[in-house]
Amino acid sequence: MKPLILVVEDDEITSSLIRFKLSNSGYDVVVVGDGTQALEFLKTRTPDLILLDMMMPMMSGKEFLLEFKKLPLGVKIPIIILTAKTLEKDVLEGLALGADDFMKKPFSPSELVARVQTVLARKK
Amino acid sequence: MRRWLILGVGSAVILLPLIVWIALPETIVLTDFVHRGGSIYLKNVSKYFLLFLFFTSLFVGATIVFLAVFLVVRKSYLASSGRKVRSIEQVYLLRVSELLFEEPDVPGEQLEEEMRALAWRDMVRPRVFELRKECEGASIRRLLSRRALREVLWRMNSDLTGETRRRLAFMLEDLGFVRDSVRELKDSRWWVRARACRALGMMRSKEGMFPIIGLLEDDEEDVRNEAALALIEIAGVSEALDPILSNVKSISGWMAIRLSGDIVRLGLESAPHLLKGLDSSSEKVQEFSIRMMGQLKDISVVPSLLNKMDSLTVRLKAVAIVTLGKIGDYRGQPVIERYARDKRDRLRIAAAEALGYLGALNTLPLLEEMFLQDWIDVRLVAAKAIAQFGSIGKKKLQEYRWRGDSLAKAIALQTLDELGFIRPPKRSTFVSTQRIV
Repeated sequence: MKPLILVVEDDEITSSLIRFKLSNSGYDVVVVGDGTQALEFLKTRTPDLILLDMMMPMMSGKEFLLEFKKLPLGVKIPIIILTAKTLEKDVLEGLALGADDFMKKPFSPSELVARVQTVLARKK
Repeated sequence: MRRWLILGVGSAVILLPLIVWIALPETIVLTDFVHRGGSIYLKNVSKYFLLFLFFTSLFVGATIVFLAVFLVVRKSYLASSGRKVRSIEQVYLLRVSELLFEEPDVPGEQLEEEMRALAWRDMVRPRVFELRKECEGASIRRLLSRRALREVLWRMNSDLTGETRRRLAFMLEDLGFVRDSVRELKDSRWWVRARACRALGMMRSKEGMFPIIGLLEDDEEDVRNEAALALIEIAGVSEALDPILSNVKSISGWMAIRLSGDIVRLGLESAPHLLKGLDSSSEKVQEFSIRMMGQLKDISVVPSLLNKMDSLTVRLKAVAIVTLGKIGDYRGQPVIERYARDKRDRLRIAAAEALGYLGALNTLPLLEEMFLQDWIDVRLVAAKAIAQFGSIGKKKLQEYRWRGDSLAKAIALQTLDELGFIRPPKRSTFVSTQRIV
């Protein structure tokens, strides 16, 4: 069975690129547009990994991480945060809130896949 | 604008023969000739000829007016077709993503990244050309498709790095977007040239590099700014600095701020490029290069700067003197001391400032001399320079509060006050003397 990755990203171009690359690399991918939708999804299914954008409408990445920590399965799902170049403080905040790794935008899809593989391997 | 011009011309073509026919029939030469001595046959011919001329003009004019109206309506439709473009974008997003992430089926060992990108390009080229054919043409549908496709590719381009981005650059070239922008670089309208530079920067196509270098000498500042930015995007700061500083006609304040950030980040690597800027024909570029040398404090530029001093204008000399002070190399000291005695006030002021930056104790007597004996502007700068010598400088200024002429006392007091070395008296105690911290 393919690992399931939940992508929380509001920009459709970025999410489409990520979905294509990860699907081609052998993962099942579900894309949601903000943190609220992601929390709803987590009530029904448990992904193997979450890719989280930090800048989103409705509920930002930081707010999602705070809510995510309160969930009972919060500790078990690894998270990789995606952040724009200039928002380094988001990276530090995200890591402090429990993210496992980060990728800066603009990003290389090949590098993203490599990080996903590394984080999943670490989880096992 | 052209459409309105066509509309105007068309209307004039319709109206002019009508006006002539109705208002001035008697002045028509042919009619006059016929009245004076022509035959009935000639009279009829002239009448029918004029009728023919009138209706032809009417037809041509109406066609021109119709064409102009059509172009105006078409342009409005294209401008307001955002929703349609977005729905087409969805389709192209899927197609482009499929192409981007398809891997070339190359047996044997792993290819290097560059080779893999080239192999991918050969593999997808036929389908990319199909995409191109779908978007070529003047019909509204094709124009909208082209716009949608370009939008998708540009947005992807800003999100990606690495091999995928290289693939995108190939797609942009093969789809003709790079060629379109390169063509627009020669447009007579400056905003089109600026937009084309920005587009080529976004596409990061090396094909656009050389034409963009030519635009560094453009008459319009905005075009030069966009060209410089585009070069940095395409080639990186290190590669772009040389052509920018060697070729740019002039550096605007905005460009100076933008470039200075990149140069500081690049660090000492940028010193050779700044030396190229020193040889520029533009005084603003020279000034910028000299100032940046002072920021970087790289001593390797000192010999070139010293060699160049004599050929600089007075204004640039002053900037160079201060830069030598900031760099702090011993080789600059004799030159600064020489200019401290120059007859030009501007250069003495610069020398005083430079001596402050230099901070060499053996130059303190010279600074004191300038503070006590020179013209007021020089004395003010000399006082601030003395203050930069730490506790020794502060002590000197405190001494001069009580000795020297009245101007020296006033300047010393003002300088100490500006630097926060004087505490104002407490209001409640009404102490008339000031306590020095």
